[in-house]
Amino acid sequence: MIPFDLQEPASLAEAIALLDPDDPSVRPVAGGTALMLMMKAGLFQPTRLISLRRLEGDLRRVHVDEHGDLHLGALVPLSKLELSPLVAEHAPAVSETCRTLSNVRVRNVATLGGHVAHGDPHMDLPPLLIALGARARAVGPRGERWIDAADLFVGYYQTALERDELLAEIVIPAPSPDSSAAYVKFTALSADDWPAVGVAAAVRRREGVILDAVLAVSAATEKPIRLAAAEAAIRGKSTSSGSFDEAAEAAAHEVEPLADIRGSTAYKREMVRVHVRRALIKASHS
Amino acid sequence: MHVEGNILIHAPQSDVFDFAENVELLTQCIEGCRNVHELGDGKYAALLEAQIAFLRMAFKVTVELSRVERPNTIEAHIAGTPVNLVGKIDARAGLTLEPAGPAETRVTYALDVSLAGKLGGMGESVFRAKAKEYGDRFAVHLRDAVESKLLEKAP
Repeated sequence: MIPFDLQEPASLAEAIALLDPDDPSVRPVAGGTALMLMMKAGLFQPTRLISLRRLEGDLRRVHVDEHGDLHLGALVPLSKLELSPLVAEHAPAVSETCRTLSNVRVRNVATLGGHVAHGDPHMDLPPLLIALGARARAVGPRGERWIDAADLFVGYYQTALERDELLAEIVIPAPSPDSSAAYVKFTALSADDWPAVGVAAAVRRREGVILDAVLAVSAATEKPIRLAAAEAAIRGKSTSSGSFDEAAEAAAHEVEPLADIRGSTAYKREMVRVHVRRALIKASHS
Repeated sequence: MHVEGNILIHAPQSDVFDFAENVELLTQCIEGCRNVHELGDGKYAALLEAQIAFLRMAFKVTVELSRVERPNTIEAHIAGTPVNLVGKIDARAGLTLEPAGPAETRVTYALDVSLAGKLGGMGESVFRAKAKEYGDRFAVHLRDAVESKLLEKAP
């Protein structure tokens, strides 16, 4: 392995100051579960890693504010999300998703911030965060700013975070009483492999009618994206399987899957169709 | 992995072909392609560098023109190894030129790439996501280079 500089700042401000907007090989690292694999393989050679392990405070906190919004600190391990009673109460789909996310060893170490900011389209939580209308708080030398989860992912390993910004927290808005959400995925190789397709659905329904829906797909695509045509196809329709078929068909048409070892373009398109339907059924009956 | 695309170039087919069969000129249209030098027998060596998000990859490759049929077809075989990474890259690249008007040529590019080793395991998905983008940018650079060369030649 090529030598690199490792820094362990004690504050968020210090960590931000160590980032270099002009050098993409300077990276923050939290759990390191994804980055270390890349480094071992020789795919990523950093000039400097900024370890966030000494940072404390709200970055490691899960809490609900006075509006009922759920705040998840960027350094919260995924296993804490999985087991947190607050998360289970306010965003049960997040707890449930974490239970099948990779394996328990990874979940104990990997953090929410790393999971999101790594920008790998195979991650499980990004489509769910998009469906739930979550926002990310980014902090940098120019202060802080909020980014909608739907705008956070801009390409393969690329997010809207600037190179001198760190993700501080994710906030999931309080759900309305008539809403529910679900995430379903398909792993083509083994149960704890990266998904070939991941679909999240959040629906608002009343008396058997879908008032509104947000659908997002990941893994099959270059980045997690919303499925606008499928959302339009289900809006105002009944919670019957026929309506779900229409939305699934629309999703399969609008998505542009990338072929890889987990499936061809045609196969993944079909899997999107199947899993959009399943996600809608699951969300509508939660 | 197969990538293809096409672009319309405002230049006669013969001018486009003259440009494209010159490996040193053609490789200037490939982003990150440096240190091109002839090895003899129609073979060239080059260094290919690609930056994808925070990943920077470099490959030492040899390029061999495997089929040159004026005025329509140029094919090349590209083989090499990544720098600081275990793996292999093997690619077949082709350009097909067709007249599209009195002084216009439709150029279709096609690239078949196979990756092996760690490069294939972890890098494949990223390559797949970015290959089309790189291919389309190559086509635009080719068009711009041919058209500006033609302007230079104009009286």
